[in-house]
Amino acid sequence: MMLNFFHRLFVSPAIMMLPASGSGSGSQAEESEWPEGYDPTHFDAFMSGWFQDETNELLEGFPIAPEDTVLDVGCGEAPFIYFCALRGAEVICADIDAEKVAFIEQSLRKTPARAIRSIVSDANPLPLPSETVTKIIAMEVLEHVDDPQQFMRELLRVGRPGAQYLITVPDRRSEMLQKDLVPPVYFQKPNHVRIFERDEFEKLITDTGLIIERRAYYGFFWSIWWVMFWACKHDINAPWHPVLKQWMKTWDILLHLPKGQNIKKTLDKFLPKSQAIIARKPT
Amino acid sequence: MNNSDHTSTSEVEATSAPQYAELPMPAAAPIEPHDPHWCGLADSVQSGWFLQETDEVLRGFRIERDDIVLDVGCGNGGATMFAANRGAHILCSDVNPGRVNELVQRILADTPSQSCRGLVCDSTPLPLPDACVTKVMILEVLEHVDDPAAVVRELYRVGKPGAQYLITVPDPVSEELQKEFAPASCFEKPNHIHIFQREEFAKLVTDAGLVIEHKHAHGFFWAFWMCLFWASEQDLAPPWHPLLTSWTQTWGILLSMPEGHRIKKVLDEFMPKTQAIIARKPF
Repeated sequence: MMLNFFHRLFVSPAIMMLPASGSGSGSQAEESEWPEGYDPTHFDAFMSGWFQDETNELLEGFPIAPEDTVLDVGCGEAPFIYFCALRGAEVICADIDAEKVAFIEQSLRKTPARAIRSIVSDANPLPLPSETVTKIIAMEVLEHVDDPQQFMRELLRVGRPGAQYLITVPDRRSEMLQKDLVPPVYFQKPNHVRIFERDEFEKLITDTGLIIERRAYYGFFWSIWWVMFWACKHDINAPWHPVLKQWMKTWDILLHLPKGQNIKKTLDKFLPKSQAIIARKPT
Repeated sequence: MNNSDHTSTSEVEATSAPQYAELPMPAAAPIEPHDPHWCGLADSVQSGWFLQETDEVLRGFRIERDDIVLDVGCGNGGATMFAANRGAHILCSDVNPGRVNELVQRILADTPSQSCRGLVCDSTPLPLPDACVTKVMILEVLEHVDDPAAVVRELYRVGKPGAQYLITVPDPVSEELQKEFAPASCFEKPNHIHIFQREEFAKLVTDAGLVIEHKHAHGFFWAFWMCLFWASEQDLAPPWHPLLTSWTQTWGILLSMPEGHRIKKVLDEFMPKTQAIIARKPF
Protein backbone atom coordinates (compact mmCIF):
# COMPACT_ATOMS: atom_id res chain seq x y z
CA MET A 1 0.00 0.00 0.00
CA MET A 2 1.17 3.50 -0.76
CA LEU A 3 1.24 4.82 2.75
CA ASN A 4 2.66 8.26 2.89
CA PHE A 5 1.98 8.98 6.49
CA PHE A 6 5.41 10.05 7.54
CA HIS A 7 5.54 12.72 4.97
CA ARG A 8 3.61 15.29 6.89
CA LEU A 9 2.29 18.39 5.30
CA PHE A 10 2.06 19.94 8.71
CA VAL A 11 4.88 19.76 11.15
CA SER A 12 3.84 18.24 14.42
CA PRO A 13 4.46 20.28 17.55
CA ALA A 14 6.91 17.66 18.68
CA ILE A 15 9.22 18.64 15.91
CA MET A 16 9.64 22.07 17.34
CA MET A 17 10.73 20.67 20.66
CA LEU A 18 14.28 20.45 19.45
CA PRO A 19 16.93 20.01 22.09
CA ALA A 20 18.46 23.37 22.94
CA SER A 21 21.82 21.85 22.20
CA GLY A 22 20.64 20.88 18.72
CA SER A 23 21.93 21.88 15.35
CA GLY A 24 20.57 25.41 15.45
CA SER A 25 17.95 24.90 12.76
CA GLY A 26 15.27 24.96 15.43
CA SER A 27 12.69 27.46 16.49
CA GLN A 28 14.97 29.32 18.85
CA ALA A 29 17.11 30.67 16.04
CA GLU A 30 15.46 34.04 15.45
CA GLU A 31 14.35 34.81 18.99
CA SER A 32 16.76 37.36 20.28
CA GLU A 33 14.73 38.12 23.40
CA TRP A 34 15.77 34.83 24.96
CA PRO A 35 19.26 33.95 26.15
CA GLU A 36 21.38 32.07 23.68
CA GLY A 37 20.66 28.35 23.68
CA TYR A 38 17.36 28.84 25.51
CA ASP A 39 14.25 27.68 23.70
CA PRO A 40 10.97 28.43 25.50
CA THR A 41 9.21 25.58 23.68
CA HIS A 42 11.86 23.18 24.86
CA PHE A 43 11.48 24.48 28.40
CA ASP A 44 7.74 23.82 28.19
CA ALA A 45 8.44 20.27 27.01
CA PHE A 46 10.89 19.83 29.85
CA MET A 47 8.28 21.00 32.34
CA SER A 48 5.90 18.43 30.83
CA GLY A 49 8.39 15.68 31.69
CA TRP A 50 10.21 15.45 28.35
CA PHE A 51 13.98 15.45 27.82
CA GLN A 52 14.98 14.85 31.44
CA ASP A 53 18.75 14.99 31.12
CA GLU A 54 19.36 14.26 34.79
CA THR A 55 17.46 10.99 34.80
CA ASN A 56 17.99 10.08 31.14
CA GLU A 57 14.25 9.87 30.63
CA LEU A 58 12.93 10.86 27.23
CA LEU A 59 9.57 11.23 28.97
CA GLU A 60 9.13 10.61 32.69
CA GLY A 61 8.79 6.84 32.99
CA PHE A 62 10.67 6.16 29.74
CA PRO A 63 14.41 6.00 30.55
CA ILE A 64 17.05 5.44 27.90
CA ALA A 65 20.25 3.51 28.71
CA PRO A 66 23.38 2.87 26.58
CA GLU A 67 22.44 -0.80 26.26
CA ASP A 68 19.06 0.06 24.72
CA THR A 69 18.24 -0.43 21.07
CA VAL A 70 15.78 2.34 20.24
CA LEU A 71 13.51 2.40 17.20
CA ASP A 72 11.81 5.69 16.31
CA VAL A 73 9.09 5.11 13.76
CA GLY A 74 8.13 8.21 11.81
CA CYS A 75 11.07 10.01 13.34
CA GLY A 76 10.38 13.32 11.60
CA GLU A 77 13.16 15.74 12.40
CA ALA A 78 14.31 13.46 15.16
CA PRO A 79 14.53 15.36 18.43
CA PHE A 80 13.55 12.17 20.25
CA ILE A 81 15.99 9.79 18.68
CA TYR A 82 18.62 12.49 19.09
CA PHE A 83 18.05 12.45 22.86
CA CYS A 84 18.49 8.65 22.82
CA ALA A 85 21.64 8.88 20.71
CA LEU A 86 23.15 11.27 23.27
CA ARG A 87 22.62 8.53 25.90
CA GLY A 88 24.85 6.22 23.87
CA ALA A 89 22.08 3.85 22.82
CA GLU A 90 21.85 2.06 19.50
CA VAL A 91 19.38 4.08 17.44
CA ILE A 92 17.26 3.12 14.47
CA CYS A 93 15.24 5.81 12.73
CA ALA A 94 12.52 4.90 10.32
CA ASP A 95 10.69 7.31 8.08
CA ILE A 96 9.17 7.20 4.64
CA ASP A 97 11.13 10.25 3.52
CA ALA A 98 14.49 8.99 2.24
CA GLU A 99 16.08 12.41 2.16
CA LYS A 100 15.07 13.16 5.71
CA VAL A 101 16.36 9.83 6.95
CA ALA A 102 19.72 10.38 5.28
CA PHE A 103 20.02 13.83 6.81
CA ILE A 104 19.18 12.52 10.28
CA GLU A 105 21.66 9.69 10.00
CA GLN A 106 24.31 12.24 9.14
CA SER A 107 23.58 14.44 12.15
CA LEU A 108 23.38 11.45 14.50
CA ARG A 109 26.98 10.61 13.60
CA LYS A 110 28.15 13.45 15.82
CA THR A 111 26.56 11.78 18.87
CA PRO A 112 27.92 9.03 21.14
CA ALA A 113 25.29 6.59 19.82
CA ARG A 114 26.69 3.08 20.00
CA ALA A 115 25.26 2.23 16.58
CA ILE A 116 23.14 4.09 14.04
CA ARG A 117 20.79 2.65 11.48
CA SER A 118 18.25 4.27 9.30
CA ILE A 119 15.39 2.70 7.47
CA VAL A 120 13.28 4.09 4.69
CA SER A 121 10.00 2.34 5.28
CA ASP A 122 6.26 2.82 5.65
CA ALA A 123 6.40 0.38 8.58
CA ASN A 124 4.16 -2.10 6.89
CA PRO A 125 6.13 -4.22 7.40
CA LEU A 126 9.27 -2.95 9.11
CA PRO A 127 12.40 -4.51 7.62
CA LEU A 128 13.57 -5.69 11.03
CA PRO A 129 13.68 -9.17 12.56
CA SER A 130 11.29 -10.00 15.39
CA GLU A 131 12.16 -9.23 19.02
CA THR A 132 15.23 -7.09 18.35
CA VAL A 133 14.57 -3.67 19.94
CA THR A 134 14.13 -2.65 23.58
CA LYS A 135 12.56 0.79 23.17
CA ILE A 136 9.99 1.74 20.54
CA ILE A 137 8.90 5.31 19.90
CA ALA A 138 6.02 6.35 17.64
CA MET A 139 5.18 10.01 18.09
CA GLU A 140 2.15 11.52 16.35
CA VAL A 141 2.06 8.75 13.79
CA LEU A 142 -1.03 6.63 14.47
CA GLU A 143 -3.43 9.40 13.45
CA HIS A 144 -1.96 9.22 9.95
CA VAL A 145 -2.15 5.48 9.33
CA ASP A 146 -4.88 3.55 7.57
CA ASP A 147 -4.81 0.58 9.89
CA PRO A 148 -3.64 1.42 13.41
CA GLN A 149 -4.13 -2.17 14.64
CA GLN A 150 -1.90 -3.53 11.93
CA PHE A 151 0.66 -0.83 12.63
CA MET A 152 0.70 -1.61 16.36
CA ARG A 153 1.02 -5.37 15.71
CA GLU A 154 4.10 -4.64 13.66
CA LEU A 155 5.59 -2.58 16.49
CA LEU A 156 4.78 -5.40 18.91
CA ARG A 157 6.55 -7.90 16.69
CA VAL A 158 9.90 -6.09 16.64
CA GLY A 159 10.00 -5.48 20.42
CA ARG A 160 11.85 -7.86 22.71
CA PRO A 161 9.90 -9.32 25.61
CA GLY A 162 9.87 -6.55 28.24
CA ALA A 163 10.45 -3.84 25.60
CA GLN A 164 8.99 -0.44 26.44
CA TYR A 165 6.80 1.61 24.09
CA LEU A 166 6.19 5.35 23.93
CA ILE A 167 3.22 6.15 21.72
CA THR A 168 1.60 9.56 21.28
CA VAL A 169 -1.33 10.89 19.26
CA PRO A 170 -3.09 14.27 19.20
CA ASP A 171 -5.67 14.73 21.93
CA ARG A 172 -9.27 14.88 20.81
CA ARG A 173 -10.04 18.23 22.46
CA SER A 174 -7.32 20.04 20.62
CA GLU A 175 -8.23 18.38 17.32
CA MET A 176 -11.88 19.38 17.74
CA LEU A 177 -10.88 22.95 18.47
CA GLN A 178 -8.95 23.14 15.21
CA LYS A 179 -11.60 21.47 13.12
CA ASP A 180 -13.28 24.68 12.02
CA LEU A 181 -10.02 26.52 11.41
CA VAL A 182 -7.79 24.20 9.44
CA PRO A 183 -7.76 23.76 5.68
CA PRO A 184 -9.61 20.56 4.69
CA VAL A 185 -6.36 18.74 3.86
CA TYR A 186 -5.49 18.71 7.55
CA PHE A 187 -8.03 15.98 8.14
CA GLN A 188 -7.36 14.12 4.90
CA LYS A 189 -4.80 11.60 3.82
CA PRO A 190 -1.80 11.78 4.26
CA ASN A 191 -2.51 13.98 7.25
CA HIS A 192 -4.78 13.21 10.18
CA VAL A 193 -7.20 10.51 9.09
CA ARG A 194 -8.58 9.86 12.56
CA ILE A 195 -9.12 11.42 15.96
CA PHE A 196 -8.57 9.18 18.97
CA GLU A 197 -10.78 9.34 22.02
CA ARG A 198 -8.71 8.71 25.11
CA ASP A 199 -10.30 5.33 25.86
CA GLU A 200 -10.06 4.32 22.21
CA PHE A 201 -6.34 5.05 22.24
CA GLU A 202 -5.89 2.98 25.40
CA LYS A 203 -7.88 0.12 23.93
CA LEU A 204 -5.71 0.11 20.83
CA ILE A 205 -2.62 -0.30 23.00
CA THR A 206 -4.04 -2.99 25.28
CA ASP A 207 -5.67 -4.90 22.40
CA THR A 208 -2.22 -5.15 20.85
CA GLY A 209 -1.10 -7.01 23.94
CA LEU A 210 0.86 -4.24 25.63
CA ILE A 211 0.52 -3.35 29.29
CA ILE A 212 -0.02 0.35 29.98
CA GLU A 213 2.35 1.81 32.55
CA ARG A 214 1.65 5.51 32.32
CA ARG A 215 -0.55 8.06 30.55
CA ALA A 216 0.43 11.68 30.03
CA TYR A 217 -1.47 14.67 28.64
CA TYR A 218 0.47 17.77 27.72
CA GLY A 219 0.74 20.72 25.38
CA PHE A 220 -1.81 23.41 26.29
CA PHE A 221 0.74 25.87 24.96
CA TRP A 222 0.71 24.14 21.58
CA SER A 223 -3.07 23.79 21.45
CA ILE A 224 -3.40 27.56 21.65
CA TRP A 225 -0.36 28.12 19.43
CA TRP A 226 -1.93 26.04 16.67
CA VAL A 227 -5.34 27.66 16.99
CA MET A 228 -3.71 31.06 16.60
CA PHE A 229 -1.44 29.83 13.83
CA TRP A 230 -4.42 29.35 11.52
CA ALA A 231 -5.11 33.07 11.62
CA CYS A 232 -1.55 33.96 10.65
CA LYS A 233 -1.59 32.93 7.02
CA HIS A 234 2.08 32.18 6.89
CA ASP A 235 4.27 29.15 6.41
CA ILE A 236 5.12 26.81 9.17
CA ASN A 237 8.51 28.24 9.94
CA ALA A 238 10.10 31.27 11.53
CA PRO A 239 9.96 34.23 11.58
CA TRP A 240 6.71 33.77 13.44
CA HIS A 241 3.82 36.16 13.34
CA PRO A 242 3.83 38.72 16.22
CA VAL A 243 0.79 37.05 17.79
CA LEU A 244 2.67 33.74 18.05
CA LYS A 245 5.74 35.44 19.44
CA GLN A 246 3.69 37.27 22.04
CA TRP A 247 1.89 34.06 22.99
CA MET A 248 5.21 32.29 23.40
CA LYS A 249 6.44 35.13 25.58
CA THR A 250 3.31 35.02 27.73
CA TRP A 251 3.65 31.31 28.28
CA ASP A 252 7.33 31.60 29.09
CA ILE A 253 6.66 34.25 31.74
CA LEU A 254 4.04 31.94 33.27
CA LEU A 255 6.38 28.96 33.45
CA HIS A 256 8.92 30.95 35.41
CA LEU A 257 6.51 32.04 38.14
CA PRO A 258 6.32 30.09 41.41
CA LYS A 259 2.75 29.02 40.68
CA GLY A 260 3.37 28.63 36.95
CA GLN A 261 4.15 24.94 36.97
CA ASN A 262 0.97 24.13 38.84
CA ILE A 263 -1.16 26.15 36.45
CA LYS A 264 0.54 24.62 33.43
CA LYS A 265 -0.23 21.14 34.77
CA THR A 266 -3.91 21.90 35.15
CA LEU A 267 -4.12 23.56 31.73
CA ASP A 268 -2.23 20.68 30.10
CA LYS A 269 -4.78 18.25 31.46
CA PHE A 270 -7.64 20.55 30.47
CA LEU A 271 -6.64 21.14 26.84
CA PRO A 272 -3.69 18.95 25.88
CA LYS A 273 -2.25 18.98 22.39
CA SER A 274 -1.24 15.35 22.73
CA GLN A 275 -1.85 12.23 24.72
CA ALA A 276 0.98 9.80 25.42
CA ILE A 277 0.98 6.22 26.63
CA ILE A 278 3.99 4.37 27.98
CA ALA A 279 3.43 0.62 27.74
CA ARG A 280 5.38 -2.60 27.97
CA LYS A 281 5.49 -5.87 26.04
CA PRO A 282 4.97 -8.71 28.53
CA THR A 283 8.01 -10.82 29.30
CA MET B 1 -28.90 56.76 17.79
CA ASN B 2 -28.20 59.41 20.33
CA ASN B 3 -24.66 58.68 21.41
CA SER B 4 -22.10 58.55 18.71
CA ASP B 5 -19.63 60.45 20.86
CA HIS B 6 -19.43 58.08 23.79
CA THR B 7 -15.89 56.95 24.11
CA SER B 8 -15.37 58.17 27.64
CA THR B 9 -14.57 56.30 30.81
CA SER B 10 -18.13 55.24 31.37
CA GLU B 11 -18.09 53.20 28.18
CA VAL B 12 -14.88 51.45 29.16
CA GLU B 13 -16.46 50.49 32.41
CA ALA B 14 -19.51 49.38 30.57
CA THR B 15 -17.64 46.68 28.72
CA SER B 16 -15.91 45.31 31.72
CA ALA B 17 -19.07 44.94 33.67
CA PRO B 18 -20.65 41.77 32.33
CA GLN B 19 -17.60 39.59 32.71
CA TYR B 20 -16.34 41.19 35.73
CA ALA B 21 -18.88 42.95 37.84
CA GLU B 22 -17.09 42.31 41.11
CA LEU B 23 -13.76 43.76 40.11
CA PRO B 24 -12.69 47.27 41.00
CA MET B 25 -12.46 49.24 37.82
CA PRO B 26 -9.42 51.37 37.05
CA ALA B 27 -9.93 55.05 37.68
CA ALA B 28 -10.28 57.38 34.74
CA ALA B 29 -6.94 56.48 33.20
CA PRO B 30 -5.92 56.98 29.59
CA ILE B 31 -6.88 54.03 27.45
CA GLU B 32 -3.93 52.04 26.23
CA PRO B 33 -3.49 48.73 24.47
CA HIS B 34 -1.84 47.07 27.47
CA ASP B 35 -4.83 47.71 29.67
CA PRO B 36 -6.96 44.56 29.97
CA HIS B 37 -10.12 46.66 30.17
CA TRP B 38 -9.32 48.27 26.85
CA CYS B 39 -8.73 44.85 25.33
CA GLY B 40 -11.85 43.52 27.04
CA LEU B 41 -13.83 46.35 25.45
CA ALA B 42 -12.64 45.51 21.96
CA ASP B 43 -13.25 41.84 22.66
CA SER B 44 -16.77 42.36 23.98
CA VAL B 45 -17.74 44.60 21.10
CA GLN B 46 -16.52 41.95 18.64
CA SER B 47 -18.79 39.53 20.50
CA GLY B 48 -21.82 41.77 20.08
CA TRP B 49 -21.82 43.63 23.42
CA PHE B 50 -22.35 47.37 23.84
CA LEU B 51 -23.19 48.13 20.24
CA GLN B 52 -23.29 51.92 20.12
CA GLU B 53 -24.66 52.10 16.60
CA THR B 54 -27.70 49.96 17.30
CA ASP B 55 -28.22 50.77 21.00
CA GLU B 56 -27.94 47.09 21.89
CA VAL B 57 -26.44 46.11 25.24
CA LEU B 58 -26.00 42.70 23.63
CA ARG B 59 -27.04 41.92 20.08
CA GLY B 60 -30.77 41.22 20.34
CA PHE B 61 -31.28 43.38 23.44
CA ARG B 62 -31.90 46.95 22.35
CA ILE B 63 -32.59 49.87 24.68
CA GLU B 64 -35.15 52.40 23.44
CA ARG B 65 -35.55 55.87 24.84
CA ASP B 66 -38.93 55.01 26.33
CA ASP B 67 -37.80 51.84 28.02
CA ILE B 68 -38.04 51.45 31.77
CA VAL B 69 -34.86 49.56 32.55
CA LEU B 70 -34.22 47.67 35.76
CA ASP B 71 -30.59 46.71 36.40
CA VAL B 72 -30.37 44.29 39.31
CA GLY B 73 -27.07 44.12 41.14
CA CYS B 74 -25.82 47.03 39.10
CA GLY B 75 -22.36 47.01 40.71
CA ASN B 76 -20.17 49.54 38.95
CA GLY B 77 -23.01 50.28 36.62
CA GLY B 78 -21.41 49.64 33.26
CA ALA B 79 -24.54 48.25 31.67
CA THR B 80 -26.71 50.76 33.52
CA MET B 81 -24.73 53.64 32.04
CA PHE B 82 -25.13 52.21 28.56
CA ALA B 83 -28.91 52.16 29.04
CA ALA B 84 -28.96 55.60 30.66
CA ASN B 85 -27.04 56.98 27.71
CA ARG B 86 -29.96 55.88 25.50
CA GLY B 87 -32.19 58.21 27.48
CA ALA B 88 -34.18 55.43 29.12
CA HIS B 89 -35.76 55.50 32.58
CA ILE B 90 -33.44 53.73 34.98
CA LEU B 91 -34.06 51.69 38.11
CA CYS B 92 -30.86 50.32 39.56
CA SER B 93 -30.59 48.04 42.55
CA ASP B 94 -27.71 46.79 44.64
CA VAL B 95 -27.16 45.71 48.22
CA ASN B 96 -24.43 48.32 48.54
CA PRO B 97 -26.01 51.76 49.26
CA GLY B 98 -22.82 53.65 48.41
CA ARG B 99 -22.62 52.10 44.98
CA VAL B 100 -26.27 52.78 44.23
CA ASN B 101 -26.08 56.42 45.31
CA GLU B 102 -22.93 57.07 43.37
CA LEU B 103 -24.37 55.52 40.25
CA VAL B 104 -27.61 57.48 40.51
CA GLN B 105 -25.64 60.72 40.87
CA ARG B 106 -23.53 59.85 37.86
CA ILE B 107 -26.54 59.00 35.72
CA LEU B 108 -28.36 62.19 36.66
CA ALA B 109 -25.28 64.31 36.03
CA ASP B 110 -23.80 62.72 32.91
CA THR B 111 -26.53 61.04 30.88
CA PRO B 112 -29.73 61.97 29.05
CA SER B 113 -31.67 59.45 31.16
CA GLN B 114 -35.28 60.63 31.60
CA SER B 115 -35.43 59.45 35.20
CA CYS B 116 -33.32 57.46 37.58
CA ARG B 117 -34.02 55.77 40.90
CA GLY B 118 -31.77 53.67 43.07
CA LEU B 119 -33.05 50.71 45.07
CA VAL B 120 -31.01 49.39 47.95
CA CYS B 121 -32.20 45.82 48.36
CA ASP B 122 -31.26 42.19 47.83
CA SER B 123 -33.95 41.61 45.14
CA THR B 124 -36.17 39.24 47.13
CA PRO B 125 -38.45 41.08 47.11
CA LEU B 126 -37.89 44.10 44.90
CA PRO B 127 -39.71 47.21 46.18
CA LEU B 128 -41.59 47.56 42.90
CA PRO B 129 -45.18 46.91 41.82
CA ASP B 130 -46.09 44.10 39.42
CA ALA B 131 -45.56 44.58 35.70
CA CYS B 132 -43.80 47.95 35.78
CA VAL B 133 -40.60 47.61 33.72
CA THR B 134 -39.90 46.86 30.05
CA LYS B 135 -36.26 45.77 30.25
CA VAL B 136 -34.53 43.77 32.96
CA MET B 137 -30.78 43.26 33.22
CA ILE B 138 -29.16 41.01 35.78
CA LEU B 139 -25.51 40.47 34.99
CA GLU B 140 -23.25 38.14 36.98
CA VAL B 141 -25.54 38.19 40.00
CA LEU B 142 -27.39 34.88 40.20
CA GLU B 143 -24.21 32.92 41.05
CA HIS B 144 -24.03 34.93 44.29
CA VAL B 145 -27.59 34.56 45.59
CA ASP B 146 -29.02 31.91 47.91
CA ASP B 147 -32.10 31.18 45.84
CA PRO B 148 -31.62 32.02 42.16
CA ALA B 149 -35.05 30.66 41.20
CA ALA B 150 -36.74 33.02 43.66
CA VAL B 151 -34.86 35.98 42.18
CA VAL B 152 -35.83 35.09 38.62
CA ARG B 153 -39.48 34.69 39.70
CA GLU B 154 -39.30 38.14 41.28
CA LEU B 155 -37.87 39.56 38.06
CA TYR B 156 -40.70 37.93 36.17
CA ARG B 157 -43.23 39.58 38.46
CA VAL B 158 -41.98 43.13 37.86
CA GLY B 159 -41.74 42.80 34.07
CA LYS B 160 -44.56 44.08 31.89
CA PRO B 161 -46.02 41.53 29.49
CA GLY B 162 -43.57 41.47 26.58
CA ALA B 163 -40.67 42.76 28.72
CA GLN B 164 -37.25 41.62 27.65
CA TYR B 165 -34.60 40.14 29.97
CA LEU B 166 -30.83 40.00 29.71
CA ILE B 167 -29.37 37.51 32.18
CA THR B 168 -25.74 36.46 32.49
CA VAL B 169 -23.83 34.09 34.76
CA PRO B 170 -20.28 32.72 34.58
CA ASP B 171 -19.82 29.78 32.23
CA PRO B 172 -19.23 26.43 33.98
CA VAL B 173 -16.16 25.43 31.94
CA SER B 174 -14.26 28.49 33.05
CA GLU B 175 -15.58 28.30 36.62
CA GLU B 176 -14.46 24.69 37.06
CA LEU B 177 -11.01 25.63 35.84
CA GLN B 178 -10.79 28.69 38.13
CA LYS B 179 -11.74 26.47 41.03
CA GLU B 180 -8.41 24.69 40.64
CA PHE B 181 -6.47 27.94 41.05
CA ALA B 182 -8.56 30.37 43.05
CA PRO B 183 -8.58 30.65 46.83
CA ALA B 184 -11.51 28.74 48.32
CA SER B 185 -13.18 31.98 49.41
CA CYS B 186 -13.94 32.82 45.76
CA PHE B 187 -16.45 29.99 45.77
CA GLU B 188 -18.00 30.79 49.14
CA LYS B 189 -20.49 33.41 50.20
CA PRO B 190 -20.60 36.32 49.30
CA ASN B 191 -18.78 35.23 46.14
CA HIS B 192 -19.78 32.52 43.69
CA ILE B 193 -21.93 29.92 45.46
CA HIS B 194 -23.46 28.41 42.30
CA ILE B 195 -21.96 27.08 39.09
CA PHE B 196 -24.67 26.85 36.45
CA GLN B 197 -24.39 24.19 33.79
CA ARG B 198 -25.66 25.57 30.48
CA GLU B 199 -28.91 23.54 30.49
CA GLU B 200 -29.48 24.33 34.13
CA PHE B 201 -29.19 28.05 33.42
CA ALA B 202 -31.70 27.79 30.58
CA LYS B 203 -34.08 25.81 32.80
CA LEU B 204 -33.86 28.45 35.52
CA VAL B 205 -35.07 31.03 33.02
CA THR B 206 -37.82 28.99 31.42
CA ASP B 207 -39.11 27.60 34.74
CA ALA B 208 -39.90 31.18 35.78
CA GLY B 209 -42.12 31.50 32.71
CA LEU B 210 -39.77 33.41 30.42
CA VAL B 211 -39.26 32.46 26.79
CA ILE B 212 -35.66 32.27 25.61
CA GLU B 213 -34.85 34.29 22.48
CA HIS B 214 -31.05 34.03 22.27
CA LYS B 215 -28.20 32.26 23.97
CA HIS B 216 -24.73 33.68 23.83
CA ALA B 217 -21.31 33.00 25.29
CA HIS B 218 -18.04 34.85 25.10
CA GLY B 219 -14.94 35.87 27.01
CA PHE B 220 -12.06 33.44 26.48
CA PHE B 221 -9.84 36.48 26.87
CA TRP B 222 -11.05 37.09 30.44
CA ALA B 223 -11.30 33.40 31.33
CA PHE B 224 -7.66 32.86 30.50
CA TRP B 225 -6.69 36.23 31.97
CA MET B 226 -8.13 34.99 35.25
CA CYS B 227 -6.06 31.79 35.12
CA LEU B 228 -2.95 33.92 34.67
CA PHE B 229 -4.11 36.32 37.33
CA TRP B 230 -3.95 33.53 39.92
CA ALA B 231 -0.43 32.76 38.77
CA SER B 232 0.63 36.40 39.05
CA GLU B 233 -0.27 36.60 42.75
CA GLN B 234 -0.92 40.32 42.43
CA ASP B 235 -3.79 42.45 43.71
CA LEU B 236 -6.75 42.99 41.48
CA ALA B 237 -5.66 46.44 40.38
CA PRO B 238 -3.07 47.95 38.06
CA PRO B 239 -0.16 48.08 37.54
CA TRP B 240 -0.58 44.66 36.00
CA HIS B 241 2.02 41.93 36.18
CA PRO B 242 4.08 41.49 32.96
CA LEU B 243 2.34 38.13 32.52
CA LEU B 244 -1.08 39.78 32.34
CA THR B 245 0.22 42.56 30.14
CA SER B 246 1.75 40.06 27.75
CA TRP B 247 -1.49 38.08 27.48
CA THR B 248 -3.45 41.28 26.90
CA GLN B 249 -1.04 42.19 24.11
CA THR B 250 -1.34 38.72 22.59
CA TRP B 251 -5.11 38.98 22.49
CA GLY B 252 -4.98 42.55 21.23
CA ILE B 253 -2.85 41.47 18.27
CA LEU B 254 -5.20 38.59 17.56
CA LEU B 255 -8.27 40.84 17.58
CA SER B 256 -6.60 43.18 15.09
CA MET B 257 -5.87 40.39 12.59
CA PRO B 258 -8.19 39.89 9.61
CA GLU B 259 -8.76 36.25 10.57
CA GLY B 260 -8.64 36.91 14.31
CA HIS B 261 -12.41 36.76 14.75
CA ARG B 262 -12.46 33.11 13.61
CA ILE B 263 -9.97 32.18 16.30
CA LYS B 264 -11.82 34.19 18.91
CA LYS B 265 -15.07 32.45 18.02
CA VAL B 266 -13.59 28.99 18.44
CA LEU B 267 -11.97 29.83 21.77
CA ASP B 268 -15.03 31.71 23.04
CA GLU B 269 -17.15 28.65 22.37
CA PHE B 270 -14.64 26.37 24.02
CA MET B 271 -14.12 28.35 27.22
CA PRO B 272 -16.27 31.46 27.58
CA LYS B 273 -16.12 33.55 30.72
CA THR B 274 -19.81 34.37 30.57
CA GLN B 275 -23.01 32.78 29.35
CA ALA B 276 -25.89 35.10 28.49
CA ILE B 277 -29.58 34.52 27.82
CA ILE B 278 -31.96 37.01 26.26
CA ALA B 279 -35.55 36.10 27.15
CA ARG B 280 -39.03 37.60 27.07
CA LYS B 281 -42.06 37.58 29.34
CA PRO B 282 -45.00 36.36 27.27
CA PHE B 283 -47.83 38.78 26.47
